[in-house]
Amino acid sequence: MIPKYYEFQNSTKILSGEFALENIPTELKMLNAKRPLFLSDETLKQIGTLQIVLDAIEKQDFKVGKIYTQIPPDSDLELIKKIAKIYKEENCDSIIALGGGSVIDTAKGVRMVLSQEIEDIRNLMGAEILTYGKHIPFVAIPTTAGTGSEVTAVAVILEKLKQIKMEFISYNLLPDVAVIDFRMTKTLPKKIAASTGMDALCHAIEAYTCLQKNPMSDAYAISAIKLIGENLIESVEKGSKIARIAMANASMMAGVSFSNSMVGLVHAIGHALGGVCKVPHGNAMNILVPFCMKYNMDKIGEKYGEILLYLAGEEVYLNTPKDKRGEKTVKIIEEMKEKLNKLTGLPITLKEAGVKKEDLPEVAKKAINDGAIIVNPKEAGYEDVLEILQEAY
Amino acid sequence: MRARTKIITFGKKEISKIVLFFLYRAFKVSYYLDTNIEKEIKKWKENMQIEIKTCENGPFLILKKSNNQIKRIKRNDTKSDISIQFKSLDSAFLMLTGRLGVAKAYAEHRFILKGDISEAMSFVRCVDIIESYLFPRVITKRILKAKYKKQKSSILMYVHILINR
Repeated sequence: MIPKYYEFQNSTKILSGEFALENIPTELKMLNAKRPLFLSDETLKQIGTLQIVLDAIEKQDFKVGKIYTQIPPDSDLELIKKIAKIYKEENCDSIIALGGGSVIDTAKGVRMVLSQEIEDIRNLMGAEILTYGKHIPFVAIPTTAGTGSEVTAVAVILEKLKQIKMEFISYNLLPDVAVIDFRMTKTLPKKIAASTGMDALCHAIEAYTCLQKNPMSDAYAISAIKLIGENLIESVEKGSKIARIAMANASMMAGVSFSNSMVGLVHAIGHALGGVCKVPHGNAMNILVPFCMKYNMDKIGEKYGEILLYLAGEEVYLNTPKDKRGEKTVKIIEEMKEKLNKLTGLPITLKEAGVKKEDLPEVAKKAINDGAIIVNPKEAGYEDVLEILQEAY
Repeated sequence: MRARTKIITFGKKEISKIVLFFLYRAFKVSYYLDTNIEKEIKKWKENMQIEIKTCENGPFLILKKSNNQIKRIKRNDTKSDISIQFKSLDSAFLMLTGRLGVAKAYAEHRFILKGDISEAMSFVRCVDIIESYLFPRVITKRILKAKYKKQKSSILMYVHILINR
């Protein structure tokens, strides 16, 4: 059904596959950039991923302006200001971000400071405040297949003083170019591949079922679910090139989808679990997704049923009665969780993830104030969330 | 602009002013009449200011929590903690006349939300509850995700809104 109104934007150019990294200099030149600031983290430097990208760029006779790798998992305002200062001091004219969600979100924050020509980005917190500003060419290279941050209009940055995670939502945050190259996920540990893969699945499922689903976001979500259904287990188990590039594409497409149609209950609770109990985001998604789907079943069971075709294939879909397809989708996801647990030890309950039962009320309290809960198709209050958490424990 | 469009826009602005006034009064009285609204507002920090703007220069409502009361700020030049500014008067009008819920309006990117999104969630819950009182079931069934169990009758709420206490 076509919605009465919707908005959709994905202006990021995608480079995906063989020798994608080698094309970065050309893309930068087309964006009138000559001296990029290269952002990454220490782990990627140590395991050699950073060097692979540098080699790919430098062999095209292109030099980066400055490399900065001291980016922690939760970047704060001070660090962003510091990096923006380095950018100016080194006369850089563009940004390359290599990493997971943290590095890419940091780059988005730095770009905000530079393009808006301000010191303090706190006043830009919220949804769609950001104006276009000065154009800072921005290339994102994801090293996990999950966050989709390379194509999302969202950035989360820590406010250390108040200990809050500031959320920025704007289409003006979208990178100019996203580069997906199988070399970037070669060293990804199995457990992280599993966890981030389930995060991508969650993005796609919630994008396909939340309040602002639309034909454009549906197309991306369906393609992402299909790729995840076919490749997640193989990418974790065997780590084949094809499966890894498929998962990276799935993550990117799920990112495009949820960036436009938003995520719901699973993410609202997952964010709270991360904040209160420090459960890694992908692990929280993996644990919560079937429980939240069961909660939403009476409202959007039919939509979950449609997902079955893409997640499990024609045969399973056709052999399942129409009114049972939603439940079957949940069952398939539970089976995926079991398989990933056997392969990597990825926790399947909150208890296994190290969550203390006494923290659950605090998690529920935080979850109902998360922005994602508003677009969940079914109302979820404190008691409802607490019940889901207890079931997932 | 055509004369017809001018008249319709004028009408929409005037109706929006009335609805926003009712919304303000509803916030003020429901704080005493509904324990869930009371609980939500009590969690707001002192002097918390929230504004709803129907469009750039259109009718607006600014609410401020002060001494455990909800007050209306009439000046439009103060900085609010949370600002909800609709992208067009027509989008705001859809919401103010019960044809679009807050959740759906947010999902459809109908407004610009400035400030901490998590702080805005409490305000959204309050608006949902108030809409349950102000609009008949036939409307709330369409715009709200769940039926709210009203603690007082809508008639009583309207009486309090009209007598302002």
